[in-house]
Amino acid sequence: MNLLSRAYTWIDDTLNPIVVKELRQAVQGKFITGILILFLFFQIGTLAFSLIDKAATSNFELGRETFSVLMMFVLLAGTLAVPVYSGYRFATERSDLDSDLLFITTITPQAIIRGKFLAAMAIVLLFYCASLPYMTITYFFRGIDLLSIFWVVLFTLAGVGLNLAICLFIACLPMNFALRVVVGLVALMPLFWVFGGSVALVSEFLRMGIGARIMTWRLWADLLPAVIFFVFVLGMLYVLSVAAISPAPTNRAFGIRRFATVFWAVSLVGMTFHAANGGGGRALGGWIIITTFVLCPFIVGAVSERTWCGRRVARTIPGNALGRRFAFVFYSGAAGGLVWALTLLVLTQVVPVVALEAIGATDFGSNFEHDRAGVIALALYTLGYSLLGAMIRRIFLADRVPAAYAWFLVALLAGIGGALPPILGFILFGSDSEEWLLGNPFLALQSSTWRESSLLFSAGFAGVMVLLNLPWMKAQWDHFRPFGDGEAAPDGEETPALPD
Amino acid sequence: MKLEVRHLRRTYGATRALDDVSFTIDAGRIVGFVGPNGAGKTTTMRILATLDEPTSGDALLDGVSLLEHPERARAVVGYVPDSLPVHRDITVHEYLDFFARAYGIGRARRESLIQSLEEFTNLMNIREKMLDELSKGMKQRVSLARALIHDPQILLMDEPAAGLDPRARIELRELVRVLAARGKGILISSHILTELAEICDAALIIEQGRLLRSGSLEEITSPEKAAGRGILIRVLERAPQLAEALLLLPGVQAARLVGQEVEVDVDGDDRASAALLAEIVRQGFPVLEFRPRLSTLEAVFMNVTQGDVQ
Repeated sequence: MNLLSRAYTWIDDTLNPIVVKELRQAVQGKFITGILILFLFFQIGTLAFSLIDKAATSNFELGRETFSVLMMFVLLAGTLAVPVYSGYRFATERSDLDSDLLFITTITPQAIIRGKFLAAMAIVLLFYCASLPYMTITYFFRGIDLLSIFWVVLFTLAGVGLNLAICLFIACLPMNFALRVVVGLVALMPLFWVFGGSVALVSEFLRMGIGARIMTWRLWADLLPAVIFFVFVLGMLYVLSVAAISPAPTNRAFGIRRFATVFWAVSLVGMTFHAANGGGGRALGGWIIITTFVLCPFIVGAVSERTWCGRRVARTIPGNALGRRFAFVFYSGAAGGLVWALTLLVLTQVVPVVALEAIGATDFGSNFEHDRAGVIALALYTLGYSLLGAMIRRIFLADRVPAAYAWFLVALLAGIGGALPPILGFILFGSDSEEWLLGNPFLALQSSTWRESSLLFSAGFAGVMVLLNLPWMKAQWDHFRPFGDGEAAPDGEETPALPD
Repeated sequence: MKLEVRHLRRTYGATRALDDVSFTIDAGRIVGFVGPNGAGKTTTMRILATLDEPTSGDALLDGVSLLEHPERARAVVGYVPDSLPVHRDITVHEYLDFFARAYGIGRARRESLIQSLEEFTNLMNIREKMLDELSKGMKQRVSLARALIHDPQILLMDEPAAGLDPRARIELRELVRVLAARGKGILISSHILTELAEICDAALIIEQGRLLRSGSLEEITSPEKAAGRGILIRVLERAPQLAEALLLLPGVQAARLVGQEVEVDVDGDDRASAALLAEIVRQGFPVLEFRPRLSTLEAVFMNVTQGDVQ
């Protein structure tokens, strides 16, 4: 076997099987071919129209204008057509049975999601490659430089990646077809938002002459928060997709919590660096508000998790005390998830204060205290309602509502808590006082007058709920032992390791 | 390779999908898995395929726990579901190539392996056909080829004959026999009990998660175990008179004329049967044949199951 043949064999064996399969299907399917032909037709048409336009000779912006139109076609294909196509394919293939067959091979859920993503990206790159010659020609039309062209092309790939991740995530959700169609239609909103945002940003980049500013620190410093947020959303969609397609008995939450924790630390360091290099304390303040807000759904997610782990997961619990404690916080499990989310929430409020002093800044910005009180109250309300929902489900609805749907109960309770008291207050007492709104989780964010009352109320509510749920959480900790060290799961419980 | 299932239990909330299920599958044996819908067959197979975990109990492959070492189980267990998932724009050959890659089979081995599987499952002439254009029978053959791609020693087949035409069923049956002859242990569930009885060495009857009967087909269908115990007597002549005469004899519960034979239900053991034969001969009936009535798998299934689902 010669070197070339060995190299080919190595590449062939290393390739993700999903990528190979997806690309084969795309080549043999009519959709991608049809879209590509249509796409080329519009590209050539646009270029021809620009060339025969009589006013073109006197238009010094012709290159930029033509490029913008060509870029819009690329974005239509890249951020809408291909992601929707890939998501639809995955959703139709992803019956439980299909996933099952993959899980009895050596392929991992991570490889499945990566394969789907990379295959779709490869198709998008095909569109980009097909249009790149036309887009480069616009350089000769005047009004645009080559560096701007390549920067914009690279930048738009971020939008493509984001929409692809959204579509694949929706395809992964364990829903029936009808519900998936409804969710898919709702998801068109962020898809179009990303498409519209990309078109607008392309226009803005070209207007400001991005090619000349690309090597300046100022541009990258301005983009840093957006880049951090983009990486977080993309990474979170990836780990959520992996968790959604992983078999029920596996340690689904581990990847999500690990990613979120690492990202929490890296983004804190990044924002501290940004704050120290011109961003100021406001950048850190913004990080605290957004991070606190982002952590709230994790509390709701935690109470929707299982309370037991199966034997396979239990085998991986470390035997030593410290390892067991870490595993409890990071492994799938309701109590562990709550401890994890609360720990990060507390650290989010504390660590940046130390960082602020370290970089020599004085405050987090003018509106910071108000916003922080609002998001802290929101986190406390979320904790209170989540534990209330979990408790009601456990005591009264254990046979009717699976633990995996506890989030729905939490949302219902928060809705009732926010809307019912003011209605009852008005009907029974004729009172429209804002006191009746104390059950509303968003009160402190909306009203500065009721900020302190809302904080006090939510703290009391969350505190009582934590006390009431402590035995439940303690029981989970007691049962969280390495395999062979714990007792068998009791009969009739939702065990083992199934989030229903 | 030997698969030992020990006291499997699986609960979903208050529902017991499996309750203390134990059985063994030896290499080269075909074991039929019989039960009404919702009896726990698929749950058992999913646990054995490492797709689910039992609440308690274990399954051992040559003594190695399948629960503790699922990766080892995946290397030796093949799973054939009742239908092939939807895959558009992919040929049979590409589909098998995909799974071969998914099992980590390198390029050097992959081509020859897929070809041999296509030949074995008679897919050579349709290997370039699109998967979604295939008939149900062809899809089942593809499904079987896919399950065999990593040369599993234990094969789990969940309703593989469902919806197949007679020819496809016969072909599938032959393939299963060949696989067993090659030393693979096979657990096969089906609602077509007559066909199962033809190919299986042993059977498991399950209902509401509980194993009601298990053992070789002879054991399960033998008169001692079957609920309806009886003897078939063939005489040269005077069969109707024999039926009447039998009813007067002690220990005889019932006697029916079935063609030229008399079917008789009796109390007691072999000694009582021998005494009955002696009495019939003494009364001058020309007995040609006197044999125990063997129950069919179907009859046993109907007798032992209640038809309840959880």
